[in-house]
Amino acid sequence: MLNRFLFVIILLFFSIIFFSFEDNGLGLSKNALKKVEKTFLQLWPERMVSWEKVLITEDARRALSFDIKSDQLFRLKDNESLVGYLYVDGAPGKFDRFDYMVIFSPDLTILNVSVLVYREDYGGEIGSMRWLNQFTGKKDGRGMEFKEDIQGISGATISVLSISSGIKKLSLNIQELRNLGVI
Amino acid sequence: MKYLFVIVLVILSKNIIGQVTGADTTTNEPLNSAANIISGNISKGVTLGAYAQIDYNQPFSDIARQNGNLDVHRLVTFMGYKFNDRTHFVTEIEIEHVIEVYVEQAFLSYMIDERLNFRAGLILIPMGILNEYHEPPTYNGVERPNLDAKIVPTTWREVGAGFSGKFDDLSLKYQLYILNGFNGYNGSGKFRGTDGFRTGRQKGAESFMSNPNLSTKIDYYGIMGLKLGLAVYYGKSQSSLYHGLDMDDIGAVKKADSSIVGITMLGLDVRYQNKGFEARAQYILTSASNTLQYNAFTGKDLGSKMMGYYFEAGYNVLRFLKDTRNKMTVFARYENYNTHAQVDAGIAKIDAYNRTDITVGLGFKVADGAVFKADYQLFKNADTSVDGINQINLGMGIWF
Repeated sequence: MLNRFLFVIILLFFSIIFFSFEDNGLGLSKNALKKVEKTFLQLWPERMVSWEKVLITEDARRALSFDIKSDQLFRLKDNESLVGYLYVDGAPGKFDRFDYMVIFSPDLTILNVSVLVYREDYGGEIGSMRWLNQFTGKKDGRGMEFKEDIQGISGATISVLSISSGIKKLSLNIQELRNLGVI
Repeated sequence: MKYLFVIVLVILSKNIIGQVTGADTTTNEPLNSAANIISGNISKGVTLGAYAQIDYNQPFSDIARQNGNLDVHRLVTFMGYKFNDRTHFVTEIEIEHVIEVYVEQAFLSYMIDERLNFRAGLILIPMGILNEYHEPPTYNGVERPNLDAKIVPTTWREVGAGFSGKFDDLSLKYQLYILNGFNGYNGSGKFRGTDGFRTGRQKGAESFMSNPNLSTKIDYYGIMGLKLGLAVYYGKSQSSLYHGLDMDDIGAVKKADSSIVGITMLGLDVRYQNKGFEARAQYILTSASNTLQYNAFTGKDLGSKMMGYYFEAGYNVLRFLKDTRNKMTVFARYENYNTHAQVDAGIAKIDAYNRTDITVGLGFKVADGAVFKADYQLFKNADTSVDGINQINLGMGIWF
């Protein structure tokens, strides 16, 4: 029994070491980017989608009711035609932040929500595509109230609340950017 | 054993393949800028939180007057520290009944991939709902269900190491740990017929190990509003008689072997929520082997099978009131737990250990994480000569 136990320990130990070698600091980001590309393929299977940063001028920034970094919002294009927008943000979980993205259609309806990087053991269930599908088709912050419109997840209360209010905020933010003529 | 090896190989190979073919599938300029923000806004940091419950229990009996009990039952602070994107330390420090200090969790976790996290330290055993999720505003009733207290036995935490991870495309998360087991013998027998292994919990306080135990759980979250859990625990209890044991001394070896039991525990749990309605159910089955020898040796009355289940349903009666964010959940729970579901020939089966609790009550949630509770409990058991007790409970629970 003890020999088998030791064998398992050694095997697990080497697994950890093996995996650690591939961490160049961008490890988590690379996986996140793979997820983004995979989502594009799912949404637009016959298109080659490229993404470009949306430039927000200083004047526009001052007029906004929220903060936005220069690399959070992207225009998605297939050649020259606009297919949508990609908005990336972070939100707090129980012990760490997680990163997620919302893909909007040209008319600002939510096409997809995905969790890009989830860093802790608690509340990761919000990554479930089925659960995130609740936000698809919604627009302008409407129909996104947690418990009213959005189903909870047992054992993931903090991250559910956090991502729900985050998505609603992004949906309202992008509408504000449209109203101001930024996009 | 073989399967564990295969699982690890599969995960390893997926990573190798990823590295070879997924080299650079993107040719987009935003690669670096997106990577910048995705690497997290907080590079390091402390998170602090707490939960607490204060209870008033007032039993009633037909034959005798009873005093009430008021207790600052639990006050728990938790701290999380983020060393970097992959490395976290999580701890919960608990003060029970004002004077008992315990550590409920304390582990270092390293995320290799979201499908594979390594964790080592004092870990909560995943078994049933409450052992992992026990913040007072997350369950109904002032007190934790007795099924969890007596049979699980919550709060159950031991020292060990293992893995956890999630597969979002399958809506599955898993946990797998190797830990020290219950202390069944340390000069005298520790287990009891009335509450099984509860007194054998070592809780990380200078725990000793004569046999490693295995704990695993899978949770499924693919159906909206539903969370399903399946847990298995396997191992032998620990005994001080193995320490310094001369393996050639047959008498001593036999004695040591009589001071332990084999434990196989199975837990099933279901949680459902949809708008104002919530329900949960749990089933725990424990099979203990070698109990005949253990009871004969220690003079204890440990059952060879313990079994329990509960069903609970609740509804937020304030749901349709427009002006309030408060929630008033009215609930009812039916629970049956029997620590003598089966006993060996050497001991008498005690009917009083076959217990049924009925709890009816409400929880008035005035904020996310703050709740006032009140409930009425009927405690019955299969021994008709022992009177059932009724009890009113009032309490508060917080979590932030």
